[in-house]
Amino acid sequence: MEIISLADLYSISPLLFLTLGAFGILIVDVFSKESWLRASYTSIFILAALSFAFQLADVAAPGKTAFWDAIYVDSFSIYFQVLILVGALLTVMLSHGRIAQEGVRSLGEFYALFLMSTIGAIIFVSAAEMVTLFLGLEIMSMALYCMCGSAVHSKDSAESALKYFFLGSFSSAFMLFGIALMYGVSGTLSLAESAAVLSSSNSGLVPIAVGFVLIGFVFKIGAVPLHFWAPDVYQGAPTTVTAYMACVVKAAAVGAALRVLWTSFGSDTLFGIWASAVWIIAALTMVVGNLVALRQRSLKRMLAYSSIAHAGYIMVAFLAPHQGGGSAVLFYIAVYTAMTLGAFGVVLAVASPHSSEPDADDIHRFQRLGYRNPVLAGCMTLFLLSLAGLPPGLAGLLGKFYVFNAAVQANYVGLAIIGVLCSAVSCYYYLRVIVAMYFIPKEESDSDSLAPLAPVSLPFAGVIGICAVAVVTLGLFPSILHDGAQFVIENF
Amino acid sequence: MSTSSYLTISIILFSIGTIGFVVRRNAIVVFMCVELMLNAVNLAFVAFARHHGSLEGEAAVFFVMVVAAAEAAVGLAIIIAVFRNHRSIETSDADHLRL
Repeated sequence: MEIISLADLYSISPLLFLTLGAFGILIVDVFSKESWLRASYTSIFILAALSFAFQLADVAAPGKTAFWDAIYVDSFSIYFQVLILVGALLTVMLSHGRIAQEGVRSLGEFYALFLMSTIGAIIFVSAAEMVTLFLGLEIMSMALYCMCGSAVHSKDSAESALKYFFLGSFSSAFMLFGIALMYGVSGTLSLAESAAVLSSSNSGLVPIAVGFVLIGFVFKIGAVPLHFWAPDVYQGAPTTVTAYMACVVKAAAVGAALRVLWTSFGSDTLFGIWASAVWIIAALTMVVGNLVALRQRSLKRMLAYSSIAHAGYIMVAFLAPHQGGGSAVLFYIAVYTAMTLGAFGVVLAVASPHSSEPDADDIHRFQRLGYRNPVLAGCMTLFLLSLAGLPPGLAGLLGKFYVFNAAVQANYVGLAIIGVLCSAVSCYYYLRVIVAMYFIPKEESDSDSLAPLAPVSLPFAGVIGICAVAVVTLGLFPSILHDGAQFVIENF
Repeated sequence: MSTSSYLTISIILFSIGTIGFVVRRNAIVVFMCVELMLNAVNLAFVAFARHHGSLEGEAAVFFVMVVAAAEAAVGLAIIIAVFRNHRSIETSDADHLRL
């Protein structure tokens, strides 16, 4: 066997930078206790990884692999790498200064885990082979379990880590069993090679394998019926970790699920097996996510259910592989990342830094925000309208349009109707926050009793600004991203 | 023994793990059930590797073992953190976060 070639190493250069950063920061941590130093150190390595991810676009080719068919180097994996890295960068900027207030004592370890989780996410989306995929999933999750519990003296944080850890390892055990069955039927672990064998096999193990692998993905995406961990974990974990889970981890899971479902299980016979399951899961996810979100008072929980509902919309497009579903997913997940990260950023700015208070992120803290801090409230309004899919939040609206359009063209009209009805329901809980921010009369509100908002730091304002600009730009000029997404899918 | 017998044992072990995960409330026991599930998968991998005469499945087992070891380290640390905060490792006591 030949020695690892330079081309192979180059194709994982973003991962190498992140690994260097993850180990380096543990050393930096010994010598300096400055919070900004560790955050900026982490950002620099993510930026380096990001620039190399962009460079990789030149060598990418459809179906190209590195490391003996273990990692894909195609535009699909690079699209998701860039998305993950941008999401991670914005999360680091959000975390600066806030993460210590939320009870995380050892920042060096936190950022090291953060980078490792990002490494796992990238391996997860670019894996070309089942064991690599599983390892990526586990690297990402294992670091996340620790990050959830990183506020060591908080009851909620420990509890969320416990729940996430048990349910996460349970569902990945199912996924692993599915992988073993796939290997048993096809005799290979490669995603592309197994496709042909799996589709021609009439073994009874194939549907079980497909189902078990699907369980693992459904859990990580946070879709019904495996969504129940999400609200608890999102609420208990430090808010920056929540933002990271809702955006980056979900994006990685969607990317990997799309790859496996369309590559290994992409043939017509296998599509028939999982399409009906995904149909039911998507419909349930949209309905349950939106209905339960209606009665949430905690903004973090509301956004958790909203992210469950959006997972449902995304899964609708899984069913339209040849009708523009792929580019719809890629567009939607990018817009979703921008608006959700922005919304979590505002929640972080408005919520009480003492997350142990029972009403730390309660909706009443947003009362009259439009008069207390008009800029923050304006950005929040934009994000919420975009999440609801109402103008002027055009980006969210277009995302939904692409998804439902693909579903209709693939003859899933019923599912598209359920989706449109559900997003109409979702307007209620998004608008409720906007009403609280602007339309509560002064005498009825208790905003005077709330502590004044802490001043917003520069990186923090940067994140909210970048997200707002991204949402506006993608709403006005969707073709910037959508054309790219179509190119990625054509080279899938 | 044929591959199907190994597979049957693997499925039985996996089911025991699954049922134990759902039924038991002690965090350590629940954790052991997850480990049992992973090891059931290992058995399936090795059986399939012998069936196909390929090494891929046996290599996969090593990776799964590494994951299981890492999971043990992380899981026990989390259980200790929960014990410090809740004074209990019954999963039913960790119910502070509610709908």
